[in-house]
Amino acid sequence: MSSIITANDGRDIMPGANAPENREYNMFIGPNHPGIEGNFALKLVVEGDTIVRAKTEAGFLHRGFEKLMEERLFIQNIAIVARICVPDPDPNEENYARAIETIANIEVPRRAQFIRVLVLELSRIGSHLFTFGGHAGTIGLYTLPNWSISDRDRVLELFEELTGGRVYHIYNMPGGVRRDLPSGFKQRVLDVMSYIEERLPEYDDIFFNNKILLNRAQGIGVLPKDKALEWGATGPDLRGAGFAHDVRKDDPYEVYGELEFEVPTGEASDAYSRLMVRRREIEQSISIVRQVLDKMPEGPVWNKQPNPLKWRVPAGDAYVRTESSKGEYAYYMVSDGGIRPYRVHVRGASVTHGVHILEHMLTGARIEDASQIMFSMDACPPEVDR
Amino acid sequence: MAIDKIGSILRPFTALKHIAEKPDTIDVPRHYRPAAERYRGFHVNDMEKCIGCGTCAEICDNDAIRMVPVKGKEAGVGKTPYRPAIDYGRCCWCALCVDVCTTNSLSMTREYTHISPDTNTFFILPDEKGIHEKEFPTGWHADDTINFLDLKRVPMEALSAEERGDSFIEIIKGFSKEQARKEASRCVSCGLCTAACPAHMNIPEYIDAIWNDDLTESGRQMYKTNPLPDVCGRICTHACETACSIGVRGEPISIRWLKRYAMDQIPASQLDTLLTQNVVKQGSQSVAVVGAGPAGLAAAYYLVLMGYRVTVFEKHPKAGGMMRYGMPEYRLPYEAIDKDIDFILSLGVELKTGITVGKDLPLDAVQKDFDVVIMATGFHGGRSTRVPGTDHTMVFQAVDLLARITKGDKFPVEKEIVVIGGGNVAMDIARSLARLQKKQYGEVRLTVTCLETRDIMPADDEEIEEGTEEGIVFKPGRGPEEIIIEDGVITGLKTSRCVRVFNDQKMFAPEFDKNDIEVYKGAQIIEAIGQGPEFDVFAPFTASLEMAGRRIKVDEYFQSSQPWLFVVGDIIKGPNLITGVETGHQAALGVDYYLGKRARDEITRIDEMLGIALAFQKDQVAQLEKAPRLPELAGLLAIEKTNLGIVEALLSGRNTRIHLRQELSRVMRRRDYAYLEALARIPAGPGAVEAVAVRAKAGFHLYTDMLFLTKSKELEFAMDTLRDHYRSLAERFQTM
Amino acid sequence: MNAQTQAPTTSRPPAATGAPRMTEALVSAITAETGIATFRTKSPRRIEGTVQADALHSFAAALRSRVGFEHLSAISCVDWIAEGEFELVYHFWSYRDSHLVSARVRIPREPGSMATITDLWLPASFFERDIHEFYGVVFQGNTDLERYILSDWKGPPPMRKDFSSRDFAHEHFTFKDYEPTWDELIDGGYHGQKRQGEGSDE
Repeated sequence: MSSIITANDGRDIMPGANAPENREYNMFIGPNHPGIEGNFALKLVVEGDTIVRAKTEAGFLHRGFEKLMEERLFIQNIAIVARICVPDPDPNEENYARAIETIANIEVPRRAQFIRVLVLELSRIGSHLFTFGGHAGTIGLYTLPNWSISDRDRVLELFEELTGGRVYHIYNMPGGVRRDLPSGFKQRVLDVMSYIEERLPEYDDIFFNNKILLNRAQGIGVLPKDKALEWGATGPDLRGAGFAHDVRKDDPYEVYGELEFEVPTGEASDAYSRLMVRRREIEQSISIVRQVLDKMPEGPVWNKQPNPLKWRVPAGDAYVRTESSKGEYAYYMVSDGGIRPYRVHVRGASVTHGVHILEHMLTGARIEDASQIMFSMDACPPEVDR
Repeated sequence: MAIDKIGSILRPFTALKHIAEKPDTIDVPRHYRPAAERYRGFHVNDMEKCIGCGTCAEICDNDAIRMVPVKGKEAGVGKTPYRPAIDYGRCCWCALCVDVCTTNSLSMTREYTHISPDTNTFFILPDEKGIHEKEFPTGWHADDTINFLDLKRVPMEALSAEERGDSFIEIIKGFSKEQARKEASRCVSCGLCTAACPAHMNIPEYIDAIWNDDLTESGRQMYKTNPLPDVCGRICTHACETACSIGVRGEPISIRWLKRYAMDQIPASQLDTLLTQNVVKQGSQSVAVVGAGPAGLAAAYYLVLMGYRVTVFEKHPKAGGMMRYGMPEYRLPYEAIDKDIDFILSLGVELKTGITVGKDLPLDAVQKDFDVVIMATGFHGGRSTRVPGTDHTMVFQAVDLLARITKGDKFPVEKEIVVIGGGNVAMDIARSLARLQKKQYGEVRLTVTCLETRDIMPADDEEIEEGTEEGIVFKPGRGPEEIIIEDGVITGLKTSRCVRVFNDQKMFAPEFDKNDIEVYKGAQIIEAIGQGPEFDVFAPFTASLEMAGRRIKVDEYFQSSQPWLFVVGDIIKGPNLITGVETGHQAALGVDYYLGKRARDEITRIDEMLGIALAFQKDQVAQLEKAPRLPELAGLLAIEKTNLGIVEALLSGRNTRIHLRQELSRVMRRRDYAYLEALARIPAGPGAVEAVAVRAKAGFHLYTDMLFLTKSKELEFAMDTLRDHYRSLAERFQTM
Repeated sequence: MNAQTQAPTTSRPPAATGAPRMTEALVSAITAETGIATFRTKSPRRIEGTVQADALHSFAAALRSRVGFEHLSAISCVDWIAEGEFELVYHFWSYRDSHLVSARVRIPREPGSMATITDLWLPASFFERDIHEFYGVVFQGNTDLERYILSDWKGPPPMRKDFSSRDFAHEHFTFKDYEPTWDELIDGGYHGQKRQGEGSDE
């Protein structure tokens, strides 16, 4: 079999591809691509404009966090876990802290629990705004990215004021949070929430009700409920298929059990349905943030732990789950009683969405929809790579 | 959400309503907006506040902090000349360094960016002005409500004044396991204590072992430089606690009580197995030690470990010197002294009590029988105020009375007593006599008076406080004029106000206001104004010994101008238990150099030790490259090459934390030189495999010791790896 | 639909309806339906137990079809090098009962081998592939154990405890050498802090 595409050393890197008698062509998308947050590649086999088979390729962002964590003190890891997922870092901090707290049986002060929920929901809003921008970009609607990224900046501004960092907050510490709310912070959070709430109808005008989006996203990337369950979808991707599972409701952590919020679901199981679930989740998050600010008690924000240079976590293990903006985000932590974690397994929400589900969904799709489908799954490659 | 299909085509144009709005963006660089109030910008460091403890470098996630010696910053008690330099190529702006800073000298600015084509500008030595030498508002800084460090001590429980008033039972109760571990957990292992300790004990190491509940290891670390840990755990003057970095903002670690805790938990029967690894048998000559006090015993311990035959002469019926005969039992119970001494004797040290060298046995006779004599005779002569009346029979020397209390000798205790002196010996005798008064008369009527005012009294504060609780009346700032004697009986002490004790040159030159007179009633006067050496014992060599002022001239190993004579302890360095131990240890090394005719070249730099390791590794690789290709040696070459790479990397000085520790533990390191040297002399056996086995063992010890001598994270890790390699090698060849 | 505990023998698809069971009821249901009695409550909504390696597949199948744990949350691997074993921990979630079951399996480290469960759960494919890549465990029956994240990696499976990433870094990378702008402030100069043998790379 002859091949047109060969490597420099004459090696056939796509066996059978591009042969004149073959109607199938190989196509490589990535690793730098607007269709996803971070570096990720698709190896497609196409026939005409239709994708016949798809393979994902990851590893461009592998930083070895799980190994790094085994070589660092418990306290040192709080600085690196956030970097596992760039757009939505706080579920990592939450999971890491909560895993230690579960193993060592550490009580977190009530106020700190409310602050954690505040941070997680702000992070969710920021992450969804980011996703909207990315999704709009994949279909050529470039006003929304400008809006949503700059509106996300207002959330980052809040983070800067609360945690000292805009993107990587390094704020959750086992036993609580690193600092209390600055004075006047509550009002500024409420102001930003009102602002975003006012902006959402404008988003509807230019994007969610935009004819172009409706035509491009409806009926695309269909993930029916049975398949979503079979393939292990979670988060908005599962809820977009009409299955109302949310870790915050079903496996509540911190003070989510005391808060009132809805779990939005979609019906059509398509890209648009998943997008709208995220759109409505922002409204729920705003409501949660308001409740948290309203109900937050006074008191300490950190339950003091021993000198971090000597701190040992008792032997044991814990599996903790958090609802990230991408879905079920879990950590499995094992301590052998030492000063470093023995093992931390990061189960990113994107490992199912970004790998097998994506490969299945792209099969039969058209090339021009590939990046939109990727974005509608909101897979985060840094989570897959770790 | 209902979708208005007609509207949906036009609705996107509603975006146009924003067209005339003012943008949110800022006109940089014309306008500059500082970041949020707790932004984690660039580091600033208050160079004066910073003590160079290096805890920031220790907690740093990415080895982004290196400690570098800054010109004009002096090393001293509780401070080093090192300051953190920050590599922004590695920093992740987590601000853990700020939160863990022992002095609160580190904080971060409210700056967002640093842009430069020169990467060298990303490696900064932050001072108060920070990276851009401009005053930026402070961002992230230490928050006193959220503190990584535990600034409060675990309180030590003690007997109350009522419980202890008439008894000699030990006052301090000691830590429980939970208390000790909690206290040990406060330590940041900066090593400032090791630098301040006269004996340079491995304090961070033994504290860490307590935290890990590995008391055997804790004891092993203590015995490396101090064979009297039970005693020191009770009455050491703890210079380490003054230097403790936690003491800058809070209460220093209770290092002394932690030592006591660990040793209390190790039964005497276990000491033997615990410490066998410290034994290096290399010498065979005989050494006489005169005086079984701390210095003499320390010298005896390290010499017997090195294989010398050691005989200790002691004039008292029991060994211990000032520990036993100058220290009241409520501070230092006899069991603690016995435990330490019995262990030293069990190693083969011969003890001859009841022999006063210079009286029962002249020094020249001792010199004939032994290769070396170590004089550790201490300060047993009490000084007198020489005011009128001191020759009265009811005027006593504190050191004499303390010895008589220990021996159980009877002596009169009057209803009213005056003690002259403001040091710890004065406290010891006053509090001992107070107990005897309480027993005998049911009440304490005892006055302590001294030249120094309360604020400069040399005694420990806790001694004065506890003495007051026990009913002692303190009259500081008074100078004795004369002892009032009526009809041959003492009735009191006449004093005048002491205007100043020291002159402008800080020399002892007291001045008195003779118009301000007070008389303290008492029928018995105790003088406790200091002790001095008795040089009579040095006869017939007294004249031939070179002097340095009023002390005998010795070199750094305490060798006198007579090469066979070493002089240690109080006579050289003044009265201090832990200093005595240090001089004894040092003299033992000196004796080993002298008798073993070994060069004294000290290995004081880790560079040189790494140099040894480098030569060792290069040699190993060279030997293996020409060795026959035996299956047993397969893979070994690769390991040795890796090791060589590690040593080379270490020599390239990537982490200056190494330097820090190097300065701090310079003297400590010298200690282990004899040990290290002994291991290097292990002869190579016949045959390639045996030779490798022997060298593997030597390598294991070499690296174990180097690991012990340093505390750099990087070096520690590398040494750990090397050590593991060699341990497995040694095991492998031993089983063959 | 009736509570599933009443019909232990019939296999039925997991239901999203019906009353969620309490933890104790679930533990006894697991014991009854899978025949493995090591499971116990660990903490609220967390159940854990040990399963023999050869029994895991049938256990997982029964857990899914008869007890209703339809979501495979993750498979974690822990290298217990001192004991010469890998521990595989399978985390299953029940949407109906809102409980997590963690099933622990110990396998010998050499050779690390385990039966796949990709035939039961498609998502297992990623987790197994990941464990194969990072620990070297072979999952019998999994046809896609190709390298994924470390496609160019030549060394041993890096998450094994006997692989030291610090050693690797020391062997393969050098630290940045700076010419600090504050050199004159340092006693002996910054480069004076370094030792002999350095500077050859300049």
